[in-house]
Amino acid sequence: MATTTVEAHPGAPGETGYLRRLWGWRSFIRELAFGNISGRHAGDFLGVLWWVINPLLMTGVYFLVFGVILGGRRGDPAFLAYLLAGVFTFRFMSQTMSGSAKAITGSSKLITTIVFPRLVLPLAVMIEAMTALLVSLATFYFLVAPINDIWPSLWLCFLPVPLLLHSMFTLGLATLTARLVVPIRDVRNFIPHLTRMWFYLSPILWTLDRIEESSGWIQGLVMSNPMYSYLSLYRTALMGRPLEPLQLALGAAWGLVFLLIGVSSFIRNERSMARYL
Amino acid sequence: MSDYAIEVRGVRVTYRPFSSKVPLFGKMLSRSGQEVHALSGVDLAVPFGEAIGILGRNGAGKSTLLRVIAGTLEPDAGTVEVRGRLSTLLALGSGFNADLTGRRNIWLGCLAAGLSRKEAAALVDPIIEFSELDSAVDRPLNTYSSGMVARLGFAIGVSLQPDILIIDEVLAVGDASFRDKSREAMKSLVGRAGNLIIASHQLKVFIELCDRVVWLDGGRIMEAGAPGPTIKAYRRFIKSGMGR
Repeated sequence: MATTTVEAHPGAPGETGYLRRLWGWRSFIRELAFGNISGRHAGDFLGVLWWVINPLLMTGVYFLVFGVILGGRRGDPAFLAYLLAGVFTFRFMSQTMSGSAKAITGSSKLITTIVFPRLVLPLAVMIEAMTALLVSLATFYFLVAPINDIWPSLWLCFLPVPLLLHSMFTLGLATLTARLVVPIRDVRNFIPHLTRMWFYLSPILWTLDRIEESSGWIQGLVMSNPMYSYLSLYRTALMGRPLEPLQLALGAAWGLVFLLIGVSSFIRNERSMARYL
Repeated sequence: MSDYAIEVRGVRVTYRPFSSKVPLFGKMLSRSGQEVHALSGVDLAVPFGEAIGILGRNGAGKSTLLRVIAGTLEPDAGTVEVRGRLSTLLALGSGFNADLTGRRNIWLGCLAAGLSRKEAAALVDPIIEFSELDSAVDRPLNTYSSGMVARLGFAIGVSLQPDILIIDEVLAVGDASFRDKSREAMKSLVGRAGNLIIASHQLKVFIELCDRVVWLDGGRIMEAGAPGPTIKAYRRFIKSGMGR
């Protein structure tokens, strides 16, 4: 017979034990993510087609603004591809971040009635955002890349590398935000501003030649942005160039550090979450 | 081995908004910045096979006690021991994802309880049958009436075959025949030496289903005993306007 004891101040539950328990809930994670994906546009006339239409519309908007109106980045025909690779991957991260906190505060009924590893909530959100990213990248290859004369090379096989490292980083960040937002709801109000600032500070809408003449510390600041490493890895893989070893190392380091900090602080605090819901 | 399915010892729960930890700041900025003592030292031992009712005014600590027993809320002090598999009736009315069909919500409910895909698959049809949703089960949950959602929630909770079933304020769902059926399901659970824990404002429920009623007020147990006398004492208390 299963005996569970809830004590007032139990020792921090072992993280390996937690991960093993999480594995037992993998079907739930899959079902939640699938539910989010199929439910997101359930009320819409076009239904799941929106998963394809959305990135297409986004491509259209950026093409109109940066390709036609602002006249393409002088002499760089690949700018639209450069830009969209950044927009899509950044969106994956910001969606996971804002969605994870929301998934917990929005599932108060679930969290106060059923015991399950709470990490399934941010994980399901990330799987949903990852699906959106993969669909976007597919449209990228069918639409944007041919226009810009970019063809997949063998280096495309390395795309899972930045995807994995960036996911680790993203999950770390998402769990960290969720862990803060649940007791201190105010944090939620900062998130859109922080992500917007981060978006503009990352080389997405602008290229690095912009800061060539800037002082060394500004350049250093730009390059110490974790997103700088991930963008560089994504772009090289997508455009069929070899991955840079330095960015690979930095991306792995950022990913590991944030994953460890975020997930362990999330796990240690998840049993007190129900108090704030 | 212990004779008790549930043992709650000296449990205290205080809801402490974050702002109350910041001196001054909390008082100035947050109107909800006060501590709330939801449970202040509750002891309760529930033997196997007992159906127990929890009675009390709003804010007495009923839901908090249920959450502590369900294991979703960690107490500030004290211990809770639970022997057996728990299931909580999803505080009916929400479901998991209102955009999804009833059927997908059944899957979510089973998997959230920790069942494997195979175990869940075996339960889907019995749950649909119990809920009497018929073809509506393939419509999105947001097209359901509140009674239909409640029936679905009840069907999931009961079909998980728990040893201990926790119910927070519901029961009057469905028509007379559905109510009879759910009562039967709860009685048969208790008959198998399972436990039922019901918090409700419908006093009739306690007399019908419970062996013992615990009356909570201000986070403390005021009285615990046979349903009739305890309810009477509670009624007298309310009438006298104590604590109002």
